Amino acid sequence: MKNISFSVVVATLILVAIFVPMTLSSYQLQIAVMVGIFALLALSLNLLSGYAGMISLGHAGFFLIGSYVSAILATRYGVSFGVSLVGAVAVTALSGLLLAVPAMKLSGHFLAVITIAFGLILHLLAINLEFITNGVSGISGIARPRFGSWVMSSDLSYYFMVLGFVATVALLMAAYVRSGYGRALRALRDDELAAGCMGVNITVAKIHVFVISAGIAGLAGCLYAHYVRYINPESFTIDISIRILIMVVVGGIGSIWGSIIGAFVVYVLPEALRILNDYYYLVFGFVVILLMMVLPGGIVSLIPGSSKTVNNISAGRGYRP
Amino acid sequence: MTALTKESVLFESDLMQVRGLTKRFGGLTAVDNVDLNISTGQIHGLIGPNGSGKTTCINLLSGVLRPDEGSILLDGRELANKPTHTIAGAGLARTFQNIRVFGRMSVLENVLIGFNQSLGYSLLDVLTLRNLKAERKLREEAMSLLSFVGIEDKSSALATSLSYGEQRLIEIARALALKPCILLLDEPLVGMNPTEVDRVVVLLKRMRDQGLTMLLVEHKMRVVMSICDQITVLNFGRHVASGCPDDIRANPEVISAYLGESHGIRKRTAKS
Repeated sequence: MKNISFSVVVATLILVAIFVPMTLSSYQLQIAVMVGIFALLALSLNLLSGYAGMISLGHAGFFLIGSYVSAILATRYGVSFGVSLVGAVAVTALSGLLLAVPAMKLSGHFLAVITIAFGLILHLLAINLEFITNGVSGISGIARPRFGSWVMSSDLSYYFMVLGFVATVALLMAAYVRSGYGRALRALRDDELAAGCMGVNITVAKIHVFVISAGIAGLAGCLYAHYVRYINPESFTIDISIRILIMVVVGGIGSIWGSIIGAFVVYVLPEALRILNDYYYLVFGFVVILLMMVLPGGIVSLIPGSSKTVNNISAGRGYRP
Repeated sequence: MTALTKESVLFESDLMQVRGLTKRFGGLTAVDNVDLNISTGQIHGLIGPNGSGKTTCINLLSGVLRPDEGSILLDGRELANKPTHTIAGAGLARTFQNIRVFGRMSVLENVLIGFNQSLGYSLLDVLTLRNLKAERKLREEAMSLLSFVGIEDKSSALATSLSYGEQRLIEIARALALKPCILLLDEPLVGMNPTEVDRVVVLLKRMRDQGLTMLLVEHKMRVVMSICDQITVLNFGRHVASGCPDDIRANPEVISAYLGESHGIRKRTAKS
């Protein structure tokens, strides 16, 4: 069975994710935490783009909402980490409706443009609504999570918490996309009209996917705010939205492992290329182009047995009817 | 075989009644005040020359287009102006003239979409992994529908990797998964070779024998005349005639609709 080799690769990845961080330097550990946070963002966008077929170029907007809600709840109202987390996820999930409404009427390029506008508007609001967001100065002094008398101050413990969230979200998402609910999303991605005629309630399905996707991005935002402890609008530019999309596509669109691998590669590669100084973005861009040409199904398609997820075969140029 | 007999009870519905169905596209009236009566357990043919409004009719009945006027009663329930998923849930399934399978999903998953309104589990069940048993049952049901139409060996293939004829069979299996009380077939034989046509004709007869009511839009007259119990003829969006195949074949208005007005007139003058 080809699934065995897939399981071996997956088991190795899990062991690496658990044990290798214990040996990392503090700088490398910071990167590992950020990879985890971006893995959540990539999973969030992948659900929307890979499974439901709606491209978002404004995902940094949801990330921003989650971060700011957490930061404001934690600094201004002094709530605990748990409350801040639930608040951030809930508010961001609701904000998903802001994009679900235009997505009822628009798709493809038109929806992509709307999502860009969404991200830009939120960035501008964060700069200009100073009485809420403190403007360009940002919000500082966000506390690390505290459980009883124990404060999660070490990066290693924070890493394991993020890892736990990534694993939970990935598992739940795998269950979701394989269920009838996930099938409905893929059906409306392939043919919205036919999906409707087969009994799929398009309105409900789109609201579902936007709310869930935004909620996951909100979770990432909360984890980010409590990790870096200082946020300002410049952490949530369209650059971030594009980077999340690159993670999804490079990793393998429509694949859960693909999002996690994509987040790792696209976050770590620029860091590794920093030795090239001015040239590193050039090399990074070149590597991304090369990857897309050689592996249209994403890096995940290198893992034997992964192609059982139909989406991998069909992504990009690899799609041959 | 097994899957259909089980649901044959559900197939027993009253007829579908369509009254005064009208659809205008700007100045063109594509469907003009059409009445349609479909009896339970029959294959009802809907024929007419190209552009006579047959596909528009199917699109109106299935909710893809909204009628400007008219009522559509299925089992006593009004379906006009309802969204497509509500109409599908009410027991009206359809296939498409230009095949619309879900291309990036497997053949089996295409059929599973039909169970979407009767999954038997909730979102909470999914997130607690308690949907797996129900899911396995759905897969078995979908497999038996695939073997009913004869493509069970292709269940894990990508839907678009199958031939056109087989993709039409996916559409039929997928529509049957809705457990419909009426199935609208929009030219299900287009692009099929004679062997495939015979296979589908046998299939349609078996579906009727198990109690499924069907509305069949088709251009292959030999097939229409041989399997339809009732036929309605449209021309320029208007109702021309209804009746059993023999009446339709002998109806002078139908002949003139197909062969042209002048031909009909000449024939009549020659007789007199």
